[in-house]
Amino acid sequence: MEKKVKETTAGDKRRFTRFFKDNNSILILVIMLFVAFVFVDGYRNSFYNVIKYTAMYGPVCLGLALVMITGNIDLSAGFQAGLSGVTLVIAFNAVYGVTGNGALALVVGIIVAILTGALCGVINGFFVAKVGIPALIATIASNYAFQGIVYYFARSSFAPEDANIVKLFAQTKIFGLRWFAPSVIVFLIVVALVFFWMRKTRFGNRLHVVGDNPEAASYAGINVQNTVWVAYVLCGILSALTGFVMVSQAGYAIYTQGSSLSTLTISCCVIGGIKMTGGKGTAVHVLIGVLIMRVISQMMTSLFLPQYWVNFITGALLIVVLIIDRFTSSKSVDEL
Amino acid sequence: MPENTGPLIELRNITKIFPGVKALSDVCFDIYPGEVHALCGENGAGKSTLIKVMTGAHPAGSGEYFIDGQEVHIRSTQEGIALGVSCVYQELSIAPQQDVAHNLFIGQLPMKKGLVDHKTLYSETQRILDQLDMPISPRDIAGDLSVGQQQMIEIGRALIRNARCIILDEPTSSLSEKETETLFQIVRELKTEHNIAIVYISHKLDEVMELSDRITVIRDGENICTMKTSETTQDELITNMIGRPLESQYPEKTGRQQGEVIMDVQHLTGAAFEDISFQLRAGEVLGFFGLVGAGRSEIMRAIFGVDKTLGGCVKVDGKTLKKNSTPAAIEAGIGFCTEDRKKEGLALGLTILLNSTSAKLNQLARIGVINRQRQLEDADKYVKAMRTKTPSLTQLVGNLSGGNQQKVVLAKWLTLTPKILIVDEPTRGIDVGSKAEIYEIINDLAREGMGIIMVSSEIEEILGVCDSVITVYEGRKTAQLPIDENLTSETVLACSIGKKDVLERVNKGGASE
Repeated sequence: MEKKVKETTAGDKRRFTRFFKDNNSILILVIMLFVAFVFVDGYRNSFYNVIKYTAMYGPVCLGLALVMITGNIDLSAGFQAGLSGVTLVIAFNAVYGVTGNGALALVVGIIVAILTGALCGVINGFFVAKVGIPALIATIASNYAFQGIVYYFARSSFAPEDANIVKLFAQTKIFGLRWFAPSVIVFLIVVALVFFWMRKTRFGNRLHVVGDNPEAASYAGINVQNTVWVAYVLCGILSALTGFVMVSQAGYAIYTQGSSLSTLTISCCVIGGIKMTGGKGTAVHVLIGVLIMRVISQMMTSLFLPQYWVNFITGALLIVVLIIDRFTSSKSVDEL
Repeated sequence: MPENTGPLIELRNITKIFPGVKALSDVCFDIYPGEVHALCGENGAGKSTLIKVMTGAHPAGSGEYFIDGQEVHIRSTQEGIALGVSCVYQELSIAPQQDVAHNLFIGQLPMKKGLVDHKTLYSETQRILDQLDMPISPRDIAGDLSVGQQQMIEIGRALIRNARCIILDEPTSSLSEKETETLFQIVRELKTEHNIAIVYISHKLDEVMELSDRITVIRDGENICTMKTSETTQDELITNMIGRPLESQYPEKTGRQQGEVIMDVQHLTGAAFEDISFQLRAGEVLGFFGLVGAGRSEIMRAIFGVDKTLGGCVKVDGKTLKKNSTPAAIEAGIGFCTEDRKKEGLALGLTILLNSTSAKLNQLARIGVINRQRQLEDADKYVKAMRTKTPSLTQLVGNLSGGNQQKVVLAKWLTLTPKILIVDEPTRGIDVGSKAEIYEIINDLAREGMGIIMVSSEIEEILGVCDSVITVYEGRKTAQLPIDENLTSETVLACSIGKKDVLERVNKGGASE
């Protein structure tokens, strides 16, 4: 009996060190925040920007993370956000044109945006999970298709007729704080919900198992195809939320951002500790990943670096972070 | 074994036909609660298929399946589990990044008010771990555990599902001696305390003799016999397993002349084997026999520079090979037809032409451009020489039969005109006719003076084709036996499972190296 107790404490210690090895992104984030806020900038403005963009890009990253945890990828997430933003504006304008009621128009717009995102996810999930097309190719293809649709619609209308009410979501100052907008609160709620869902519900628990070892999952009676499909649908819905925040922030649909947004999203997830091979990560990891990427970006904006340097350094930093991760995480082989 | 109750599971006249192969033919099998029933047979005898029928992974072609005397039709492993039949497979189905508790309760987490009940999850896991006497925490990550512990998790899963029959498929093949002991203890507990029926499949016959109550031997998909373990001996078991006399599908060994030593392996040590030394002469066919997992293939991979070696060296023509370098091995004239031709030997989606010349592209190219004419000639030469059945050189390899695929693998290496050819399980999954052709090719190559190492888990094949055989047991060379009329397959098998008395007799009686 004594022996058993001893072994268990050894296990506790192992888990403790393992936690930091697996979650070294937390450490990286702390260092970066420190550097960013103390040395580079006079604190306030940076903080505002980091929060603003985290709430904007956070949802789509979270959605992609769900897909990645099942061991798949979605390269069309960026244009799902773009497309949802565009359909939001179209629906808004249509309702506003008839009723003149901004609030009603906005509600309809949001619903249409979410349905758009969900539909995109249904399509992606169908081809990946049911038809069995490799996720990379399937979502490259759907990315082109979504892009085409976005560009088609965006020819005519991409600004809502009443921009002010649309802007409320991302630009209201709660308690007079510039960074404390409804979009921030909604994002934090979403993070909490997803975290809770993955941990406490039977279905949410499946995502990890499916990504970790699909064969084991299917032996255990888990419907692997449906699990993956649901992940894609959720990814679409969360992308739509990002689309909404983008419209609300800018006052019009930013429809050209899709492709770069997809790569940015993947970077956020990977830096946060979501494995490309699946089976690993939580909503909190994603939150941290997005924050890290925003801090990197903000640091360089604050330094007034030209865009080509921003791109170059972002890439270099990404590699550095991944190298650190590769050599410190407990399983250094065959990941990523 | 309580005889008064009826059998828990009874299979009657199970027949299973795969396209072109009759995997099971009229097989009967039954097991009682609280019994350990071993299933023995050579590789490919049909054991795996029988298990898959029992678990529901494969539906039976025809025949009847009774559980508790009720006829059942199990169409999936899910249904099998629901009826109390669980299998612990050779390849473990562990989710390596999740913790022990989540692995144990995979797919059926305990719920409370619609949410996962973590408290019960971890306390129940602890209970099962205690029951299995495992000193690990429910929160440990499964991938960090030893293979033996992972296997225990799978047994734990079966317990959670209230399994009444647990099938253990080669459970000890990757376990240490100590872990094996623990497993045995658990198996005995399950049997006596929980009245669970255990189907035990193992190549290690001493384990079978030690653990089982009854043994059923199948061979070529047919029942050979079912006997009480207490009333049989290991020798009888072996005889039953091998059974048929050597058939004349093997070529005459005459006309082969052994020349100089061309390869000298000295004290080679790797992760899965230790201190392996042997010599290979030109024109010799040297057999390597051992159980699956004994380290045969690993030795070959190390010689060929694929796996890392920890010590020792390989000399070809007196020159020591550069370590861990496949190019150096090829340069020195070694060819290696791998065990898994589909995964390691062939690109199934490419043509015969490309596959058979893929190892030689460097030599076929001038300033990087491939001489198509020479490529065609080369490929054609070997297709003709080996009588590969194909309509054209541009046929995709994936469309060929197993035997013809194997010929393409051979051709791939022969285009390089190697001095030494290693063939690992050259006839696995190949029909009898093609087998004879492969043996003929190997024989011809030896006549031409090539040194050949043939790894196989079929004793007959080794005896029929090779000049001598090295037996490997748990990563060690146990004996090197010259093959003549006096050598029986029983002796070879006994050496390959490390039977001490036979080894002493053999290693004293002659072949002292």
